[in-house]
Amino acid sequence: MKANVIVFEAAIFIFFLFFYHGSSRAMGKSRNRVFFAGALLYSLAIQTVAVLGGVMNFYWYQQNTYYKHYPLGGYIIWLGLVPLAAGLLFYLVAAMTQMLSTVMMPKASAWARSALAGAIAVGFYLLIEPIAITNHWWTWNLKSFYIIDIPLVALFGVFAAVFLFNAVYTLTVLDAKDQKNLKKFEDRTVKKLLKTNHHPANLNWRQLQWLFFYRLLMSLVVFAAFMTPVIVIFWAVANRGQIPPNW
Amino acid sequence: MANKRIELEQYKHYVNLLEEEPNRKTARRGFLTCAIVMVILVVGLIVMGFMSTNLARNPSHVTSKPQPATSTPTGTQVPSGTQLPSGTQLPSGTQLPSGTQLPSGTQLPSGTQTPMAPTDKMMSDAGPAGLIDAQPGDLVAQAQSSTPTPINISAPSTSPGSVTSPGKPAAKPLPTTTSGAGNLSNLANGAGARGLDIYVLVLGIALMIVIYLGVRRVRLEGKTK
Repeated sequence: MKANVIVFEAAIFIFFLFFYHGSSRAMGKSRNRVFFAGALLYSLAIQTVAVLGGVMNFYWYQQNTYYKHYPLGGYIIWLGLVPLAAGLLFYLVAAMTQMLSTVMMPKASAWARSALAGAIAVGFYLLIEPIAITNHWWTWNLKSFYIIDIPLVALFGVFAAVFLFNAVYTLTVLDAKDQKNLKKFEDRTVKKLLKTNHHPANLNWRQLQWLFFYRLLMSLVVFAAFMTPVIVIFWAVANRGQIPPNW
Repeated sequence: MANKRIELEQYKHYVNLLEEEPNRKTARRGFLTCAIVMVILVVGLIVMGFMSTNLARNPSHVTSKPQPATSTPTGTQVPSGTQLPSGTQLPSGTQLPSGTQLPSGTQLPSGTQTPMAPTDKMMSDAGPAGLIDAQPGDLVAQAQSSTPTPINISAPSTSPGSVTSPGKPAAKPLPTTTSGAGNLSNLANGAGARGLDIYVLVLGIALMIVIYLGVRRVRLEGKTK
């Protein structure tokens, strides 16, 4: 028996069902719903850009010949270029690390908690990555610096993504606060659209959700700004060349 | 009327709060469910890691393009002079004639019949094999075209995806496979070929300890209240 993609996908779907039930109770139904939607969209955006940019791909499972290699084919459910299972995996890891960091450091600042969440997420991905690349659940194509065939860029990316996502969630949904450096910008953009000028703590739930998604979008810009020099640095000291995505 | 509206608004807010922030006991149980699910996921990943060790030992497996399973089914005879791409997995019972080049990283299962060391130039060996099922007249026809045809077998000069320009001396491209600590097979083959198992086990246990620390905090919170 191989740990092929069907095993991975089926396991993730089953674990997701139980986990979602548990996290709905732990976080609250509405909060968990918005966390799930945010995590799925966030990971989808990052991984789609990564696939389009030739950083990684799931393409072997799109190839007809390889698709026939497995009894049930490759990934079953796709969201564009990214399989749903990859997004669900990000949700599982982000939600678990969010809860763990809140439980372990209840009185720490949102930034410290998010940093802890990011560090634990890196631990999870250090476990997942060697198995994923060996079984071709996904492939890294980037010219970069690799350790045990995992690009260090990926680990920095996981840390940054989980850190930013958890920071936005904590500062918007859990402890709704105005961000000093973003206040003017938000007053002109998202709050105009929502037709309100209230402090985030006084927004109703629907408005708070929109503010959360808006801030997630902004955090994607921050993520891109952080990752660009990281990619460039590891490109310069690369120990493995680029693999053309469709070779 | 205005008071009634305010009251309704407050009631609505209260319902939202209940949905957004459940009571601590429910939250604790939910957290425990999530923790158990993640521990099972980690255990599942450890098992999948053990299952992947054989594949991970092959240095070129991670970056090699897999071949469709239908190309070499069990018992297939590979034609003489065939070049097998790097990382090809051959099913058991495959017969390899002389002249077949096996690149590094090719996995040969038990039962595969391999020839002696291949030479760069070889003669067509249809003769001896043809004698077994020879029909009358076959040998005469074979003798008439008796000049054996040399078959050149050479390794491909360019790696997949590389572009060579005739005018410029091309800069040496980075290899598409890693070496040293960058390669997973070094880990997998290390520690008596148990390196990956140990890595996955240690990391999995560390993650389970982190989850346990969270569970312990939640339980303590439950006991104190």
